[in-house]
Amino acid sequence: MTANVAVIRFPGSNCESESLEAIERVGLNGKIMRWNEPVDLLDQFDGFFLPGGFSYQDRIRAGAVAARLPVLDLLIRRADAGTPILGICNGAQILVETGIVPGNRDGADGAHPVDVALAPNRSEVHEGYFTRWLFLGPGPAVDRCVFTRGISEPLPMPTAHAEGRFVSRDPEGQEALQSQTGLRYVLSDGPPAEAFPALPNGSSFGTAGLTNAAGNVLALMPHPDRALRLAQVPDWLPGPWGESRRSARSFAELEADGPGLAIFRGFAAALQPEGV
Amino acid sequence: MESVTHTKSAVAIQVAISPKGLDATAITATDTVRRLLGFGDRLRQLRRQRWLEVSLSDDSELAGAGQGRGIESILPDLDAYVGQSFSLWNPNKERCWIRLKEGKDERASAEFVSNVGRRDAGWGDPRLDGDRWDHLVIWDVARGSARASDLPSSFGGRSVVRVTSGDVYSFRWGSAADESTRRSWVEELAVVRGRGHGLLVQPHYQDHAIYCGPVPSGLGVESPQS
Repeated sequence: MTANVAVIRFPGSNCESESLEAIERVGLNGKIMRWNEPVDLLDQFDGFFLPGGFSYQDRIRAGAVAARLPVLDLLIRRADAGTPILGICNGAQILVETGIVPGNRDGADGAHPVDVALAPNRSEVHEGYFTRWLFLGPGPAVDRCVFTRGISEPLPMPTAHAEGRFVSRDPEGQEALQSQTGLRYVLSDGPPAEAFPALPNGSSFGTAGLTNAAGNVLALMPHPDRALRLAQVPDWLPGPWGESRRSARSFAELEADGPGLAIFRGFAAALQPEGV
Repeated sequence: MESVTHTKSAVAIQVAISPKGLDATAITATDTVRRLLGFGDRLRQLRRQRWLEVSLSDDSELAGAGQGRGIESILPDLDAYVGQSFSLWNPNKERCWIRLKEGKDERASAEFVSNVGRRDAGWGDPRLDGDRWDHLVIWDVARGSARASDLPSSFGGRSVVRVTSGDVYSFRWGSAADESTRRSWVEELAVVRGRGHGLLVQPHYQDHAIYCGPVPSGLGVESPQS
């Protein structure tokens, strides 16, 4: 039986259509659901996806308002029960503001303390919004996280955000960033990225994607949903993906799977392991 | 953890900018605090201003020599800058209110509204020196040196030594309470501890100060990067 994934659309989400396409492209049933649908309805889904965008116009802070909505009560409960949940860009910001990732400690009210934050981008030469294709490589938790398991080579992916710098002032958060990074920014040939633009935001430990302790939740800042087809890969890109793009001639070749699908294949493998 | 120091500057400029119309962020913050953080009618009003503090070099030798290097020498440069700036504020949509401080007194020595904003009545409420409001000043440690891109390097012959930017949220309450209670309310609604506790300050990269009553002039907030 095909697993069902809810793509939760908040006011201001703008990546739900390509996210739905990615989910269906790896053999899952996807459905776009509003944030204020009845909880009973949302609770019937097997997995959840929080798409990119600008929920509530990023008022106060990116993800700050959406993280406090009642629908996140459901997502916290399901995350703690092991349900796969993927948040991309603004979805990642919401998960971080909620405390689902790193999610290692329990708060008094049943929610998790907010141990890390996604701060405004900062580097020696650039602050604020930045978009470019960059490379992601495995972090310490790559095989613990269901979405990144098995990724070993640099994976090109577009990044497009203004607040993507993983930081923490608490020892617990620092430890989580060090040990629960599923994907980090790397150079095209694999070494860790340490400066702009390969490290676009100054993120601690080069973290691009942070998972929870159980590995069933991933908050990922770059956009795999914008790298579904080879045609979307820029032809100037170094490495094997760039070479494939430059050599592709036919429509069928250009429509072949892109690098971003690796993340969504992990989603499918977690939800229906027999079907992958 | 990055540490933040407060160095009182002898001469400081504080700029507060607020929309002439409705502030969507303040409206959303008010609604979120009331409905999702459980404050309800306890929070009567919440307003927000963008905030910038510019600390100037002391230049005490010049001032002591009676060469007219006091605040009055800053005003022409400041007036010209505020009137012409295109990145500090948008006079079509915003009001700009400025306080100047000279010496060690925490009160402002002088204050004025930009020429453009002066045409409007009710330009500055809630003022940073208002007694009826409690204030929350927020600044980003890592962006302490961020400044308006056209900010001059000096005013009235005194060089700019430090720039800090952030937001000021101001609160009025639905019921009377003493200062310590009001301070605890601001702390509770402001500092993020979990999704049900705090909203306005992300403590992993922002610092804040709470003032029940007027905000001191010339806070002298200094971050390691500034």
